[in-house]
Amino acid sequence: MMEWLTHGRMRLALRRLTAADGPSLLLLHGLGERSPDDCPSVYRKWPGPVWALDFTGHGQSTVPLGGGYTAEILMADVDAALRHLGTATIVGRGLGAYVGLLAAGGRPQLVRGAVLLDGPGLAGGGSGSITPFLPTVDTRQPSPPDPFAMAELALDVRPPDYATFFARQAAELSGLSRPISVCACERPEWLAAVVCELGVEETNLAEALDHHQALAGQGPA
Amino acid sequence: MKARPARSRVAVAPDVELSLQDWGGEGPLLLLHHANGFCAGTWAEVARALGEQARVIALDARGHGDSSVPKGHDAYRWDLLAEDLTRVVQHVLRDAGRERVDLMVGHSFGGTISLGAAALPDARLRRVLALDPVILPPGLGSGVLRGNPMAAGARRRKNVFVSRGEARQAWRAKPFFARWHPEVFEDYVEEGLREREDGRVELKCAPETEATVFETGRHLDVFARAANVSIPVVIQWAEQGSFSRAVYQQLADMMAEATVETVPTGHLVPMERPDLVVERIRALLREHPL
Repeated sequence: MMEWLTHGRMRLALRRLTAADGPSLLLLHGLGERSPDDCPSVYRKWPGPVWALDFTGHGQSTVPLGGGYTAEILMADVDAALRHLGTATIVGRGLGAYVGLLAAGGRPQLVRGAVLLDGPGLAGGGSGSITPFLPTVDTRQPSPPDPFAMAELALDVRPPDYATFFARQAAELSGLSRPISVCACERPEWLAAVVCELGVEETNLAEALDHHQALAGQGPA
Repeated sequence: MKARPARSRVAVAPDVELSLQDWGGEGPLLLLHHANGFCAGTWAEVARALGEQARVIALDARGHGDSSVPKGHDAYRWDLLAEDLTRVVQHVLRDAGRERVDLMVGHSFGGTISLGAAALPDARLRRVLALDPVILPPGLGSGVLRGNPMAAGARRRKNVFVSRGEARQAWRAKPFFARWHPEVFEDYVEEGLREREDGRVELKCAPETEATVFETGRHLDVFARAANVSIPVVIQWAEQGSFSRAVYQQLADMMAEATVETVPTGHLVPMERPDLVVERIRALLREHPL
């Protein structure tokens, strides 16, 4: 079942993959990906509905003209989904893992923890600032995904202290014990810094889901 | 069906010869392409299980197994490897007196190469089974992503061991091998290593070659080639692997006759569950009899 959300001029596709009652699980895809049509088996035991969001420029969501992507735009996509869902536990792949971390820190009362997985776009463009430039975009690529999203979000700057700020916010303001689970093997600088934070746990997906299932039942401390 | 495969070599480019293993057998002709860092020998369990039901031939890609190891980064461009595969197909067909390879099976990067070759005008493949192929979302295969954790991991790999026994012991302790079928594990210990002059053994596929192959995928854009794939294709998505099923589906939708299936394994499908691979091959051969 598809729900349509509005974020500015964008129409976002939020797909409900399972129908159970209970705490929501929100899946965020990687850079260039789109939501799965069916619930992946690993999430079928989740004691509530499983949702999947197509980010701006991806899947069935609007492809804007001329790009202008940042991870924070996608964080606001998640905010639109949270307005619809109330609270949710987030599982993100690649770029969706980074955005999930930002959302967990930015909306600590609504995001009941985040699980960060490997996937396209996990590294971003590294830590250092770069000279502003207009990306070369191959508009012959099939769209969606929007080639501008590929060009801009594969190279967005991710300072480690910026990422850790959101991890700290999640840990301090969510009232949850260990709200961030890192299951990704790849460790770009931002993620290497995040795993050193209190409230962040390195684990595997099965254990992370058990942990977050327990957290999802708790209210804010 | 031979207990031990017949080995031969085929020239595919100036200074590049590829090694083939032919398990014999009658019936439909199967050609198998391994994953990055592996070799033809890792298909032995699949070949043994198929027995007389098919003629099974597996190749070593350049830089792998007993094939030539050309120098330079560009020698491992995946578009070149797809051309290598086409030349192997031509050679095998000439040798066996056949018109087409009945089923091309490729795992991981071998699956991607198989799909890339299926799009070439002189492919001469009847259908393709791609097992958890390396498919990044469109636009990301062009090398835009920063860093390559797979390549970095490959470069850290230990590649010289005192003996096969030591390698076996070291590998058994690693999570990477935890779910391997025991026979495939033994085949890899046997075939994935070669003797050195100093009496020790080393990986046939050097870590630097494996790392290079992880870095040279950008030259084969399967999305750009998808419209040219007119034969039936089955893409298997490993549900405990790390690729996106939705991206596989997007690629399949651009091909004439491609379907995506889920398999309950990690990325190393034929290493973990050769029985499932064999079962799927048998079903495909039944669906499309000669």
